[in-house]
Amino acid sequence: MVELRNVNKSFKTRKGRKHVLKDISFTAEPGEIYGLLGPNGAGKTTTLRIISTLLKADSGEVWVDGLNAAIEGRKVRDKVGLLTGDMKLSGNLSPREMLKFFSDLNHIPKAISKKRIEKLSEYLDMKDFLDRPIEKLSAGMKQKTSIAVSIVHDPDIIIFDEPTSNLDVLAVKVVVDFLHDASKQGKTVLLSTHVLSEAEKLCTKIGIILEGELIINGTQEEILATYNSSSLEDVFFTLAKDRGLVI
Amino acid sequence: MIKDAFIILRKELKNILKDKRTLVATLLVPFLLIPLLFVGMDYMENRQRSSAEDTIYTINIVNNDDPVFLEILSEHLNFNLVSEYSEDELVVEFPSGYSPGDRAQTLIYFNSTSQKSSFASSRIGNALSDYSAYLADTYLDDYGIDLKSLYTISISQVDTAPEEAQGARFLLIMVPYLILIYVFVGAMSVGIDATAGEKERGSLAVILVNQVSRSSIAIGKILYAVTVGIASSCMTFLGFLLAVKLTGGMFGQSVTFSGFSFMTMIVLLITLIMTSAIAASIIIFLGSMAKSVKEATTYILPIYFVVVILGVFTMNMDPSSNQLLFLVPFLNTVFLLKGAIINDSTFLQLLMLIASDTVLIGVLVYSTSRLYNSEKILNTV
Repeated sequence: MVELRNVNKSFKTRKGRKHVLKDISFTAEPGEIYGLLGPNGAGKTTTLRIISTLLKADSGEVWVDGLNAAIEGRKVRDKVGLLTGDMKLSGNLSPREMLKFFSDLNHIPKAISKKRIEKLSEYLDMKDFLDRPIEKLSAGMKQKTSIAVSIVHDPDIIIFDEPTSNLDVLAVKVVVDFLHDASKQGKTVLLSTHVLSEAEKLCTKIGIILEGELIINGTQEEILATYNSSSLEDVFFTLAKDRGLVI
Repeated sequence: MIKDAFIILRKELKNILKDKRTLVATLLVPFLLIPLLFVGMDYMENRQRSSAEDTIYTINIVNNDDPVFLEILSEHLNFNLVSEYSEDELVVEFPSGYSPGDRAQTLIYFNSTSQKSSFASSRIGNALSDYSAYLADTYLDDYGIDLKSLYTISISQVDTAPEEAQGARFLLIMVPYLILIYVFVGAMSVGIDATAGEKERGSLAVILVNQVSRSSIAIGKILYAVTVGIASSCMTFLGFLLAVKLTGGMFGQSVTFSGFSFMTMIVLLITLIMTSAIAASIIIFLGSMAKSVKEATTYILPIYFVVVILGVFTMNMDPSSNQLLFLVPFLNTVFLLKGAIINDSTFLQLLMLIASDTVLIGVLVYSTSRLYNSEKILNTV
């Protein structure tokens, strides 16, 4: 489970401090796919980076499976698998070598790592290209490898930041199928996206974040009922318009 | 921490060993480039010299038709005489009304932009000296004096340098310069790729979310750049040895390696490792600060140019006796290498290099680790 309580974050800029997250609070339970929606620069990536301990909140608390992210960073990282949409795997290593590298980074014993790689390659249907150089793989194969890399240590919390950006339809399907499976397995999935249709199909819970504020937090049904609307897109544009974000 | 750093090192090395293009650029090119360059330059120089010697020059000799001068000149140069003046030709002008034996100011007209014309001018100058000696000898002969008996002092030079250091002059000039340059060049491409390149590929954030400490990641990347920097400069050195072997010397200077004792090799190796570590630490630190490969290159190139300039400035300097210079990174590399080549380096100098370089490396490793441990490393991702 992931729980954020009144999280604030600001960055130093040339014009002074910029408050990028303002009192963000939400909870994502095991088996849920929590979608953070918002335009670019809204604070989605910063939120996910705070949960994965890459950034520290200025104030507020982040709890990951009962662990305080600000205090027990290393233990939290063991629970978290992160994938970013701009991650471009390249180079001459094969997916097997890459998975071995990330296993080592996570201090997984060799015997377990070997079994885990076999299991993952079977689960993600990677056997045919497991020993081919990553450079020569298709976009879909690379995406499967990226997913495998991010979950090689079998995390309970899966954090995908814009995982489908710049992907073709086939590669998007790989991600979507995986996220569905992960939630069925009882994993807590956090997903950031600006593709509303994707969130509608995937997410059990949604948080809409605009200018660093979590405007809405709830299930799709709750949100649609509150705004008396038939689509998330309409709700999103109404909220954006209210804030003067739509020209 | 070191064990974790080796995970990063192992992965990066595995990647580069499979990358033929990078291997060629980092290891094979330095090995082959210097022999190719030196052999090529040697060949061109020999070819130009023999071409200049074989050329038949057209010379206009003004105010002197002494057949003895023509005979002496023919011993120095192949030529055809012309009587017309032309701007393109070589002209040897004696004063008007000159007769052999007169005191005369002779002018040689030549074109300094032409290598052949310059070569011929120099040979004509030698011929005129011989002609002058011949005339003086003839004149003195009338008085029963032998010209050679007037040369009361004959000169011979004796090299007092230790036998093993003789013939090492060229090594003193080139080895420190080449090692300094290639330590940087070798580490630069891989160092930038492992830092700013990692950011551009978007994989840094994923690498940071695991059980390995961020300091280990920083140290692992530095170790990687050090390894490639050492490999690259070793290949450069081997290429240099090959070039010397192929040409037998450089630009008319004989080169010997008789001064390369076991101790010299140890000092060379330690200096190489320390210098590579500094270069790699600088590259990894600046590369980690940059948002992109382009920005990293902008940060690192000025430092590289400073090192190149330092290499050029110290090329013709003798090994320094000023001990304080052995505390200045990069400069101490140059002077210690120069000293080592002629077996003139001391243990104290080596210790000073190790101490001062270690301090700088420590500061850079600490700064890089701090950068990796701070959020700044991600601000640019």
